[in-house]
Amino acid sequence: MTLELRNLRKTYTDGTGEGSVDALSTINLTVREGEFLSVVGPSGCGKSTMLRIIAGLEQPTTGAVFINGEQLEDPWGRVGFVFQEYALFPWRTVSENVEFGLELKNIPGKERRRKALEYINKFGMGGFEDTYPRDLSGGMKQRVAIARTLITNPSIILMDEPFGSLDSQTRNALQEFLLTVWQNSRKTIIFVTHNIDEAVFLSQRVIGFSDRPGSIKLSLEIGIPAPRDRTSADFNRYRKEILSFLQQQSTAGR
Amino acid sequence: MNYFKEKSRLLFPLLLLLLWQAVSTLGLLPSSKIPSPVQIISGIKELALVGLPSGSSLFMHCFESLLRVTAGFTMAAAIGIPLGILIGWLRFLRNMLTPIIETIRPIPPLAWIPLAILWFGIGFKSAAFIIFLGCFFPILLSTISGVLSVDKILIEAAKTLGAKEKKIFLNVLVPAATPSIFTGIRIGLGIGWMTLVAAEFTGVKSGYGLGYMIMVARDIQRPDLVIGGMATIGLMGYLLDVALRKLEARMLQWR
Amino acid sequence: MFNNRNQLSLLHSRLFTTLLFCLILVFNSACSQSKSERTKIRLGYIQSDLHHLPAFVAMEKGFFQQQGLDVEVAGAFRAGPELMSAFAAQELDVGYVGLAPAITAVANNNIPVRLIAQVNTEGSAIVVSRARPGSSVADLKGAMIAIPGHATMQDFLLRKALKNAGIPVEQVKILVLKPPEMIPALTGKDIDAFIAWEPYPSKALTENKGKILLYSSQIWPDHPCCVIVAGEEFLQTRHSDVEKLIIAHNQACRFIKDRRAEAIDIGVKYTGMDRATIETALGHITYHGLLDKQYTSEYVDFLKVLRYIKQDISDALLAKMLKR
Repeated sequence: MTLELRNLRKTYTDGTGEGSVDALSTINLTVREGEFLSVVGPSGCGKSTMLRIIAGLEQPTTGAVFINGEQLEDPWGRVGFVFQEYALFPWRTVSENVEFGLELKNIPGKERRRKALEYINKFGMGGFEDTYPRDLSGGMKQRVAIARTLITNPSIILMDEPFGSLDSQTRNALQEFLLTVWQNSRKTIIFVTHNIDEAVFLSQRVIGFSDRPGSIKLSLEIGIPAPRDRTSADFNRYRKEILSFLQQQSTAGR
Repeated sequence: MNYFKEKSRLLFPLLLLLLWQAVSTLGLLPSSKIPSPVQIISGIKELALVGLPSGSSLFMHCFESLLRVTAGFTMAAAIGIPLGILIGWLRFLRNMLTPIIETIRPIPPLAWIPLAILWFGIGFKSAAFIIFLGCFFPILLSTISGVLSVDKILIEAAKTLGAKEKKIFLNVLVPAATPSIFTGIRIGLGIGWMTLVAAEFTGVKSGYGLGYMIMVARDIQRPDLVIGGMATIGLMGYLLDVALRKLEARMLQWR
Repeated sequence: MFNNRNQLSLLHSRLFTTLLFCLILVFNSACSQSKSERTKIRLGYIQSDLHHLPAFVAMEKGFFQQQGLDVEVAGAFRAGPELMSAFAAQELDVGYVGLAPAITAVANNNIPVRLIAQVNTEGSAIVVSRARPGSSVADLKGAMIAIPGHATMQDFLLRKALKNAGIPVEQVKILVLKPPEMIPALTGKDIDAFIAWEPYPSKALTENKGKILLYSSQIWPDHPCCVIVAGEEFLQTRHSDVEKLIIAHNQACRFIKDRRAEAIDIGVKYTGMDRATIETALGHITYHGLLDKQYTSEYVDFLKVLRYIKQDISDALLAKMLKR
C-alpha cells in the first residue's frame, strides 16, 4: 500500500482570525509499501503536524492523504501511532494495554489474552503481563506501546520521536529492537526524530524539512546494507550530509 | 523507624490533652464553659451506656445518622458523577450549566432547610436532602475537573487504535477521570457528614440522630455531652474517610 | 530523640502556640471575673415570648424606673439555654426564663443563679388538627406529637397528661420541633398534635388550623412555667435592688390583669403577633410572682427520673435555689 500526501498544507488561525501561523507549506510525499522512512528537521518545522494529519488526529487546511490512490477518510485503526510519552493507559496492566485494540474487534477474552501474551513474550517482556505501567522503565513502556499498536495490524505505523525520553543505552537497545520488528513485519514506518544517528541507522530513506512553515527539502536514500555499523565511513558520510542540511535550515531562517 | 514516627504523631495531641486537663483541674478553665477531657470522656461513656435521651443508645444515634448520610451521599454520587462526566465531556453543556452551578453552589445547605421542609416535610427525606446538597457539589466539580484534565494523549492513542466515541468515553475518559472522582467522593462524604447536624435540624421523627442528640444535650445544658457528641461525630467522620481511602487504594492500585 | 533540627523546631513552635492559646484562655476568663459594681441592672428575656409579658410591661410603663432602678436589656435570647449561658459568661444579672432551663443550668452546669420570683403559671396547651376525631387525651394513641424540647415543662405536661389518661408513653411518637414550626407541621400532616406555650395554641385557633385538646391548667392546675432568676453574686451584693425589682414585677403582673387592653397592645408589640391571638392567649396565662417549692420540686423529680439532670439535686440545693 502506497501512502501519498498531496498538496498538504496546515495553517493555524487563532480565535479572532487575525493571527495565523503556517505550520506546513505544501507537502507532497509518496511512501512505498514497507518503507522505513525517517523525518528530520528543525524544531517547530511541522514534522509532528504532518504525522498527526496522516493519523487523522488533525485535519489539513488543504490537500489530502491517499492510500493506494484512495483518499483516506477514516484513518482510525488503519494507521498506528507511537507517542514519545508512551501514552499507555495507566489503569490497565501491560496485557490489558496490548489487548485494547483487540477489544475493538470483539475478540473474546481468552483469545485476546493469548495473542497479547504472544507479543509480550516476543518482545522480551515475559513475566510483566500483569504489571502496571507505573512499575515499568521507559524502554519497557515503549515496547508495550509498540506491541499495542502492532497487534492491531495497521498498514502504516507512525512514530513521533518515540525514543526521545530514553537514555542513550536504552535508546540503542530499542533501535535494535525496532529494526528487528520492522524486518519481521515489513510494515511501512514513518519515524520522526531529532537524532541523526538514529535516522541513518534505522531508515531506508531520510527526508528533511525546512524551517517553519515546513516543506520537504531533502530526500536521501540510505544505501547501506544491514547490519549497519555506526562507525563505518559510509555511515559517517550520510550523517554529515544530513547534519549540514540541518545546519543550513537553521541559518536560512534568520 | 516507621513505628516511632507513627507514635510521635500522637505525641502532640496527647500533650495538648494533658495540658488542657491540667488547666481545667487548676480551675483556670471554668467547667461550665469548657469541660475537661476527663469530663468529656465520662460524658461519652454516659452517652454510650445510658443514652441521651435516657434509653436512646449512642449506637442507634450513630446508625440513624449513618442512614441519612448514606442516602444523601448515594444520591449525590448517582447524580453528580454521571452529570459531571457529561459536563466535562460536552462543551455546550458546560457553557450552559456552569453559571447555574456556580450560583447555587455557594448557598450553604443550612439555608435550604425551610425549602427542604416545604418540599419533603419533616423527617428523613428532608434531612437526606440537606446532606445531598452538601455532598453534591464537591463530587460534581471534582468529576468535571477530572474529565477536563484527562491527558489528551490517551484519547489520541485510543483513536489511533481504532476506538470510536463510545469506547473512548467508557474505556478511556471514565477510567482516567476516576482518581479525581474518588477525591471528589471523599471530600463530598466529609462535607455531607459535616452537614449532618444542620440536616437534623429539619426535625427528627425517629428520635435518633447524632445531631439530634447534641441538640438535646444543649437543651439540658450539658456541654460535656455536647462535646462528647461532637467527638463522636468527628470520630465517625474520620473512620468513614479511612474506609474510603482503603477502597480508593484498592481500586486505584495502578497509581 | 528527634531525627533532625526541623522536627525539633516544629515541636518548639507547636508548644509555643499551645502555650499562647492557653494563656489567652486563662487571661480571658480571669478578666471577666473582675466586674466591679455597676448601677445598671442587666436584664435578659426570651424574644417574642408572651410568657415574659411582665418584663415588657414593666419596661414600657416605667415600673422599674419608679423603683429607682436602671434596667438595661442585655439580651433578647432565642431560647432558655442561651440565656443561661449568658449567666455563665457573667453578662446578665437578672433573667426571665423557663423553669426548665433554669433548673438544668444549675443542676447540670453549676451556673450560680437563684430563683427569685415566679413569672407565670399555666399558659400551654395540647393542640390537635381540626379534622382529628376524638376530644380527649386517650384519643392520642398512636399519634405523632411535637414538643418544644426535651426536659421542657411541656415535655413533662404531655407525659403527665398521658399518664392521667392511662396511655403508656411508648404508644405515642414524640418529636422535637421549635414552636413556630409546629403549626405548619400540623397543617402539613407531618404531626398529629403538638404541645406548646402560648401564644402558639391560640394562634392555631385564630388561624383555624387546629383545635385545643387540653389546656395545661387542666393537666396540672397552677403549674409553674417561667421564673425570674438572678445571679448569686448580684443577689448578695445588691439585695435591696432585687427586692425592688420584684415589686416592679408584681406591679406589672397586676397591670396585666387590671388593664387588659393595654397589656394586649404591649404583647402585640413584643411578640409581633396579631391582636386576636394575643387576646385569646392572655385568657389562659396567669401572671404572678409567687414561687411554690412543692411544684418546683415535682418538676425536679421529673427531670431526675428521666435522667435529664446529672447530679442529685437534693432538697438542700433546691432550698438554696429558692432562698432569697
